[in-house]
Amino acid sequence: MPKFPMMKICILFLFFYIAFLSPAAGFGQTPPKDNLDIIYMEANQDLAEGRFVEALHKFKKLLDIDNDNAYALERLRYAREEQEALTKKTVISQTPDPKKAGLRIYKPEKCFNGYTLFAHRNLKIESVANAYLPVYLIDMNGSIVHEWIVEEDTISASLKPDGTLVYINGSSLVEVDPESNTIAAFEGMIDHAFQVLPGGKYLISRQESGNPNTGTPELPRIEIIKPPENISWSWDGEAHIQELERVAVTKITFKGWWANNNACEVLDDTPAAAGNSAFRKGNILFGLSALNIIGVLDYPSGNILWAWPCAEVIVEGHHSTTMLPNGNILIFDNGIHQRWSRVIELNPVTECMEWEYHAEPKESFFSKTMSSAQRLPNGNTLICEAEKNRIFEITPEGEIVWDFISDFNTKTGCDLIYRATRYSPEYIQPLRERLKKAKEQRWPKKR
Amino acid sequence: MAKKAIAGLPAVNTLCSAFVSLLMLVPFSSRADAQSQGQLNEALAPYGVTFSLPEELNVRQNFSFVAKGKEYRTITAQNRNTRIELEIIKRVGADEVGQYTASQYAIIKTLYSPQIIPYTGEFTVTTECPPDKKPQELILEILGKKTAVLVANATERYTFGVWEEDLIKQRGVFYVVYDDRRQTIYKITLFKPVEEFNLQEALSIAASFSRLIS
Repeated sequence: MPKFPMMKICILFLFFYIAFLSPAAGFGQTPPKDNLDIIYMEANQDLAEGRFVEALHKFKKLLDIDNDNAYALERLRYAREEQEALTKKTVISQTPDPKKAGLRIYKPEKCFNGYTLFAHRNLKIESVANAYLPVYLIDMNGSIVHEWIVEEDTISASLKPDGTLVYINGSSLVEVDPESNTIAAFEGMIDHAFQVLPGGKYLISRQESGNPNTGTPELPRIEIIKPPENISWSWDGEAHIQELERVAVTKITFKGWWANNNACEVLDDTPAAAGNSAFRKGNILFGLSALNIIGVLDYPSGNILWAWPCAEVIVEGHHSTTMLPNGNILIFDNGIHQRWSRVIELNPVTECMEWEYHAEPKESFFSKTMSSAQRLPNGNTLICEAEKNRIFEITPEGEIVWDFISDFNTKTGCDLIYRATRYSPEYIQPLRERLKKAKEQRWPKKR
Repeated sequence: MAKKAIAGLPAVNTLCSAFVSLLMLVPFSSRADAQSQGQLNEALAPYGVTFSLPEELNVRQNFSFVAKGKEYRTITAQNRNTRIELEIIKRVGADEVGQYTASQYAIIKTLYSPQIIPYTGEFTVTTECPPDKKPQELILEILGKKTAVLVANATERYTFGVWEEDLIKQRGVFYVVYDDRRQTIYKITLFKPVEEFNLQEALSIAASFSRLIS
């Protein structure tokens, strides 16, 4: 017969009392509003009744309180799967052998045939003066049809309708003519996104002072500028911290690239405005990747009118956020934690995903940083998988109809393409004409 | 009637596609001989330079353009196990050569310096290249001048800046030479698969870059 000394019994009783019966354990009292059990109960209720967004936020809150809570994590994953199962169309394709560089697939009859603009990034190039780096324009066969030479690391480039190239290099936005001569430059840490606006203006996203290595916090800005130095409108992220914390459902830590301000776009007239006036023409779509915020700013007040409630729990790092003519938002979801990427099309009015593309196996399409997606006029999507130097085009059904891996990179030595853009032959015509004219002026025809 | 209009759409699409295809066929003005492929030494003949190669290389890219008042030509040629990339820049004054050359070597070398990925959280990591995987610097006599040559590891996509064993698939020999007689810079990179790379053979091909005897 085992002996139970009185002292042991007392200790056990005391432990039981403290854990379950004492006022500190909340037994017999009305639970506080944010009691974990209540949140659990409400989250499960939301889940059972199909309110997956609400359930996701509640499970996220539980995980914020208790990071190691396996049950909350499992339920969060389940809620996310259920929410994602509402995606109306998911398309998949197999990734061709990543070892083969150059043109890998080309089905001309199914492509949006045109020219593709891109540059290789070199994150270390800032230490190299006059680096003579190229920006490429290639045809559908993967051959270079034009090259610009720029002095610094090009993050992203765009062709204006008149054939002028605009690029950002981290320290400035620069306009160059077809023979790479600088036309105008705007100095400032513009290192992620810009949009060409009428009247020689640009919408830019920048992050002043940010340094992830020293921890100096970035000061995210979205501005309308006109080179060389005019700033006609400015939105300062740090002046909207409370709003950002509310939409990100998190406490912001000011360190390094705390926001990663990587998308900005003036909205056009789309059907989305009829469903929610936040999406009216002239407002500004923005993306703060480190906070997983995809939202809309009121122009000119700068107030945050809308943010996708699911972004924080569904998207894991995002790039290239853009509104399509149908009013949906196209997003490159890097998937940094799940370690596979996808492109999603979100209906911002219903807040449901309309379309998703990922690869099979999923890990075969993955870039944890940078990257882009562009919806083409024929409905296809051009995708840039930054860290593999890969640019490919898919149909709405997910069929890969053009696939190219650049091996032009020895000039920069680097294995990254931040963004790729496809242009139609008609759009390129002014560039051709300017090049032809320049050639004729240099080498006049003999009479 | 509606059916007829819909049935007519493919024809319209075909016409549009044909028009777009025609536009695609019009060559860019700066791309006069982009279609002429052939072999490497044929492509180099107009520049009065040549390589002595154990086996000729087929030209994959041969493209010229003008930038900042200089004429550029990019040539990429390869066969089964050898690839040579050239960037030829004409009209480069002797005063510009030093800065250009220094920047090109610096680009390659910096790729092997400690790498910081500038992203928040777990992606802000620093990796460092072990000394034995850094570029080897040698001196060769090319076009009658002592020329610095970098021998460095590259990926299967001919990208420098790798030091992880599983990513090293190619080895490259990189150098920049200036021909003061023609005011022309030649930036040259020779690649061989790492398992077939023989330093003496690679250096001998690199050093064989010479002027054609006229």
